[in-house]
Amino acid sequence: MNAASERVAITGNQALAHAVRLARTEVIAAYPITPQTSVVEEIAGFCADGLMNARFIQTESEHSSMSACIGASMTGARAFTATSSQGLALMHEMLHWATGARTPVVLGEVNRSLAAPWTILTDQSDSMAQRDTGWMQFYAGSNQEVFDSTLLAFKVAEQALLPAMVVLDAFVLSHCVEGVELPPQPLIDEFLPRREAEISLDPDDPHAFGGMMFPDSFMEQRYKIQRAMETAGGMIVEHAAAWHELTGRELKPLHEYRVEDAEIVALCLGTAYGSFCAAVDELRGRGVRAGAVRMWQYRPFPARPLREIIPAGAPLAVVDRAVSFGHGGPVAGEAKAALDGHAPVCGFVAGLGGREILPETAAGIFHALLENTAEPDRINWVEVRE
Amino acid sequence: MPIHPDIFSDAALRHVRGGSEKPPEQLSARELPPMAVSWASTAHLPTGVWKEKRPVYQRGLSPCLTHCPVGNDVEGYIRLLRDGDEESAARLLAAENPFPATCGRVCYHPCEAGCNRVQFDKSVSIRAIERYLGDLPLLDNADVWRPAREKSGKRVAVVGGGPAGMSCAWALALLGHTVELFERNRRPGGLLRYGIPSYRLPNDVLDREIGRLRALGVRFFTGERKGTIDEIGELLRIYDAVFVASGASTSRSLNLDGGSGAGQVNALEFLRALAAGDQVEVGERCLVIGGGNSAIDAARSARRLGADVMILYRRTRADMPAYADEIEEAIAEGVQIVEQAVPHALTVENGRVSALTCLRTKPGERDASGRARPAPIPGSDFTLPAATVINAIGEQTDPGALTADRELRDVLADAGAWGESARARLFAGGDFAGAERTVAHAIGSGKRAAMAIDSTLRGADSRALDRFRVGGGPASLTGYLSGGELDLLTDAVRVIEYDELNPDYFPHVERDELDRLARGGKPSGFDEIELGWSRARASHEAGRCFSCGKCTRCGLCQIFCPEGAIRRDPETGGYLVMDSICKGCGICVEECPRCAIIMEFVHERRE
Repeated sequence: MNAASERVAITGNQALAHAVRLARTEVIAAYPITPQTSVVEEIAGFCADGLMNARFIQTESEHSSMSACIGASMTGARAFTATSSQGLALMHEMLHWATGARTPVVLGEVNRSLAAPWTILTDQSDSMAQRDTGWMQFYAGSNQEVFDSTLLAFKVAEQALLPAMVVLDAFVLSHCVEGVELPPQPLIDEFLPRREAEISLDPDDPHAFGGMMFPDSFMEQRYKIQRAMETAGGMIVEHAAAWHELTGRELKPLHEYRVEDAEIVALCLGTAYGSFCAAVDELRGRGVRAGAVRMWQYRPFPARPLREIIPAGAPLAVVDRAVSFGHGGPVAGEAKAALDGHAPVCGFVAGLGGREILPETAAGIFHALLENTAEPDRINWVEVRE
Repeated sequence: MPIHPDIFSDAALRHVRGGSEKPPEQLSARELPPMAVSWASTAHLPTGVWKEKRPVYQRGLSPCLTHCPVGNDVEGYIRLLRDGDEESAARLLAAENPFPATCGRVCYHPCEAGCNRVQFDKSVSIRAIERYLGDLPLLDNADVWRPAREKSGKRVAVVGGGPAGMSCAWALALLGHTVELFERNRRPGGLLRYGIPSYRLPNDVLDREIGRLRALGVRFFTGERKGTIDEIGELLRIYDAVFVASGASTSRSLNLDGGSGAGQVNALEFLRALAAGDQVEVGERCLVIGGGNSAIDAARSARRLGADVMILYRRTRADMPAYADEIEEAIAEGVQIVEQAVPHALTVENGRVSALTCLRTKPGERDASGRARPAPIPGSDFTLPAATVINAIGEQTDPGALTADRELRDVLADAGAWGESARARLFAGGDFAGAERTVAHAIGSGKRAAMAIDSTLRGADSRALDRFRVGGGPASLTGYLSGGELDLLTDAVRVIEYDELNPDYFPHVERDELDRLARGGKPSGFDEIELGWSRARASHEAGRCFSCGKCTRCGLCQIFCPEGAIRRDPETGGYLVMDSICKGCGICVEECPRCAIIMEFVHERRE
């Protein structure tokens, strides 16, 4: 901890807002949606109170919010928006645009299931549905990590010219209060200086952006996005180290709990990790060497770190809070590919639409691995009344 | 954060900055910039040739301007006040109106009826703003009014020291002429002094404004009646031009049965005596007959002298020609209104009025104006005790008193819109010449006549005067002095209607009103009843003005232009459309809150 830090009790949404404030974000364009609303309310308050020197734009839809952020970002401004679920889905077209235009917009995404049927509770189906848009995705496990991830997201985004999503579970993080350390402004300024745009939308030297590109160079543009994603992986490690130096806190692609000597491992994203850690302790008490992994960085996908962490040959349960219908859990499929020839992977789907993933739920998943009842080639639905 | 060099290579940056050295198909991914961006600046892409229409900044007219009989640049002075330039605001107001403090108190503010804000929430309190500016001491600075031209050597006589005569004298003095004004009363002011009670227009306010005319060089000869044929003939011999504005101050007769007695008085005589400081007696019960502004002024004055006052009107209250808020205030002060009644016979006891017998009326045949003529109902008579009966059924001009010469009388009665008469060098204006009977119309009439007189004295073609009308309405002295070079006067200028505005950008803000002395009950004196505003309140109210048709440099056109084709003009502070880039999409016009931009066809259309 930095000595000058302030320790406050705030919700995940407030942590996000404070990060946006301390990042000296210049343009915020947003439309309210549960459970994201309090993020932008808080930021609007900061702007109104003069705590931020920013332009706050209340748009009429998320599509416009993202469009405004892209436009702002193209002028060289640091831009932010936040949304959830249907709002993110409505942004879909412009998410692709943000990537293609290489605008380092940062988006606070409070995970909420997609309708229909209506719900406001959490799962990761909304953010997972955007995995191919070229956005970096960071799944927070605590309110502190929401804060830290947001600053890192700006840092990497602006250096790699890629947009980034900071993802947090609805209500469990967004509306629950935890202790969060807010570093002093000079520390943040040192970590995240003003954005430097090499080329931007400038009336004094007008250029056309996002115009037609012919087959002679379109593919090169796509190739460059993938290259940027790969480069960003290294930047994340580098800047996370700098953040650790400044604050003493770690941000890393994968968090692990008692994995080193594990004979079975479970992997999840977000706050369910706590339940898996509890189940690990319980199983180890009974002589079973279980371990748990939390994936913080989903895009770029951390394939190599995953291979390094998962013990060779140890069965891995990948627990998705989303379904790619007709296939399986999105993370499970990718983990299976990453660990091909290294460790067997079984895909589980749990906790959709806000259903709790309790330590017992986690224990049940470990037992399925142990007892060999989990099927590797289909979705293993957790606690579903078939 | 700087961009990582692997993400945006120097080679790629060079291409964007300086143009490509190789065709794109030969560039490696590393040499390409990360985003699709034109090699060259789009400032050189002539997308402007696509357009059929182009946006043009106009100076549209706010309706308040054309509704002002005086010709005040209402929007202009309100905008200056809103922008914090109080002094320029007051000077702009005084450039068109010699009596801003007076009008700020007594004008019936037709500008507010025309205000587009009426269709949004409530009109801007324009009269109150005018009063605030008119009361500013800076208007007494000697440089506010200076003759704008060198001395012409011409002398003009003005007959009548009311608002029309004084306005004409003021404008003539500014135009460089020697002006001598003849007023039959002891002091100048006409209706402003002798018709409007001091609780609405205090003497010191009027005296201050008249004092400025004296400082400008207008010479006043008071207590001198000039107006008979011989006198006008004499004036025409002595002066280069003569302007007659001797008002309409002869009361119409009531023609009552029962003879006459003490206690009968005409409203204007009553008000004049009060204003002159003469001894005025009012009985305990006072009846005022009539429904116009003189009736209200007389009733409220009598009330202040301690009487119980009733107004007798032949139609209903809604039909009364007096201004609605004046009627309301009179009622609040305890004046009663007896509707649909006409006086019939006077009871006189011992040479004094003691009662008035009246008849009820009902709507009868329609007159030429389409209004039902009130018809007395036989047998409906009722009697009201009255010690004083004030006749306020209207005033008329009295050309007979002015001149016995029928020809001259006809010439004066037939004066044109610019005051010109059939006789050379003789002009007429104000109530006398049939102007609408308001202070504002009188001032406007005097101003117009001054321009016509100046034009005649300089041998210019007075038929060209209409080009100095703003939007075809009131005449602009500033425009006349500029030789028509005022942008308000260009042909392109037209009045902006509410539907042309984009009210999404305007918040609803409650209209502020002048404070008043406590209302209700019997008023005790002739103290001014309306209280002026602080600068903060005046500026706040000015902030409600839409500035219809005027560019206020809000920048929305520039923000919304998808092509970046709109630039700030460093010279004027306004905006320029880069014709070579503007595609003519019209978004700037759609967004403009105040219709300061319009689309015009680039080429003339072939039918």
